[in-house]
Amino acid sequence: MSKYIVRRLMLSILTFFCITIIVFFISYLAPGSSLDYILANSNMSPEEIELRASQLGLNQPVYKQYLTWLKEFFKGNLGISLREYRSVTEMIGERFGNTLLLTFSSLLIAYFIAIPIGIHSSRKPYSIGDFFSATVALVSMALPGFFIGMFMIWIFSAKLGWLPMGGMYSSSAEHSIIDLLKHMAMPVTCLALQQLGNVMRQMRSSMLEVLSEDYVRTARATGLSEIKTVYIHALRNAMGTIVTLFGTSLPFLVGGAVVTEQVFSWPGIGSLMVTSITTRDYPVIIGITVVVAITVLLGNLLVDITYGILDPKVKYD
Amino acid sequence: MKSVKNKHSSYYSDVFRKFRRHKIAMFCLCIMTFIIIAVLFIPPLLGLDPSKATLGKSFQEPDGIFILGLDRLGRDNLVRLLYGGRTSLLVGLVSTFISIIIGVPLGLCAGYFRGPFEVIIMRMVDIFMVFPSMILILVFVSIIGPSIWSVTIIMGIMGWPNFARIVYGSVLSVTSKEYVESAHAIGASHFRIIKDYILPNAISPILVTTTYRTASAILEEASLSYLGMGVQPPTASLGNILNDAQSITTLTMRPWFWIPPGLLLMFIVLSINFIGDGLRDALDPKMKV
Repeated sequence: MSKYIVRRLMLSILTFFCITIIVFFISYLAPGSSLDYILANSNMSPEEIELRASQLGLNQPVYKQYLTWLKEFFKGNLGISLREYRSVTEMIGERFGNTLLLTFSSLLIAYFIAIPIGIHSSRKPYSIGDFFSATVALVSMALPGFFIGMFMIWIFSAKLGWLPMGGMYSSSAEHSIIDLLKHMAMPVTCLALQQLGNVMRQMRSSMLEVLSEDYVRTARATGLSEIKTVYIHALRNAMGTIVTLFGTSLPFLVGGAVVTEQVFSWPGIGSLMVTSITTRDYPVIIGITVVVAITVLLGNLLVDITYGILDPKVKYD
Repeated sequence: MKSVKNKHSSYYSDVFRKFRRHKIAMFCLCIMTFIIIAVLFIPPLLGLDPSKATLGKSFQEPDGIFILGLDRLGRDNLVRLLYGGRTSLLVGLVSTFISIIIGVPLGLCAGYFRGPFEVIIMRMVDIFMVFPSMILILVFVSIIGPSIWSVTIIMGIMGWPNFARIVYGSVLSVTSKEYVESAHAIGASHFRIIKDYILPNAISPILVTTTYRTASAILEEASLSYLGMGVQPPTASLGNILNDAQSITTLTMRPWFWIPPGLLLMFIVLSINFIGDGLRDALDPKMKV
């Protein structure tokens, strides 16, 4: 078991370095460098520009910049934003929690709706109900997040006036939970709707597989009620799927969050990413990519370990 | 006599028969055919110009002449919609093609030659699969500069692991079969074994993955263009038409402007997904009709 964890850990670390190297080097080979951006947007004298560049370490060779960046990274310092002239760690720190709040609430909601439906349709495959839920799943997977977001804003904010159009808190009101929930309702639903289909399909197929196993037939043969057979014996064996699903949905969630945050002007790292890209603020872009990489890798590591605990059949070699 | 004849029907005629029974998939195939014909042939046949603007008619509401109204610059929305659909389909198909070209050979190598190929290629697949591709695509596009070709190529490159993994799996399942071993025994070359015995087995999963991947590439392109990082104006794409609707006034007051491209996008992606589902069921020899 520990050998297995160590191996997964090594792979995660390797992945992490690959991603930082690729993103770092490519962003420094970019044609419109960050310095150009500063130049175009200020009326500094050449000496001042020289000073600013050396302060930011922009006049050193790329590999040295990478090593300096790496050294600073391990101290928890992701550099300084070229546009806002603030610590990148601080900027990401302010927003990271908001993104987690958004993504995890939507994942929870998607699970609560999709898992029971998936189980139900696996019990009667190819029935009307199964057909219906399969259709819902496909529709959910075809939803363009930004379009659904815009549609919801049009209906619920502009037409009905029930919910605020975007942001996280109303500027006038006190920061209350109710206010936050009102602001969360649409972006969370929007993300959850896109997750539903995938969760439903995976749950259905893994339950179908489990339900055809011999021990389920044995359980039925002993006269156990259908509910007990499905929800106690079969479901426990399909739990692994729910755990793996968490790992596989992480990348989609992050990608979806970028678009959703932009539509609802949610102050998370996704919308920060979009602004930083338009202004070519490379330290922030690299910082966000690295933070996302760490989150996703940690999530997957956790999934692998949990899966190993849940399913004793996994061989650790 | 009839039943005997049926037994001898080939695999693919069987597949075709099964696909035809999948009513929704057939319906979606019809819709897709209609959409493809519409976006490919209607604009050149009618000589429509997507950049032709009616001056002084910014955001004119739909009427008898302009069924979907005019956009910010006074261009006909219906014409832009057709061109946008064309761009989206093109980007989706070409990027998927690039993914196939990269992913299929790598998957074949990993599964057939095993050893170091397997380790390196499949580790790379793992790395690509865990990382949110949207973030990496955004980073690359921001560096190379957004354009229709940069988006297509980058999405194509990012899509290879889907194909490599699926091909790897199907290669592994046949390499130890007797007919492959006997081909080795009579001295067939690697190329011939792969071409005649291994690849045919991987065709069905590749086909199914192609449909799903095309659908998600179309969605990705739309999201990128919506964010302003994809296809750049004046070229119309379903995503960048919606980018114009980021302003609150357009969003709340002119739904006739942004709902049609969004719906078309949904229909295209949904139809492709349904066709993929139908194909998957039809290609599965275990599925009885």
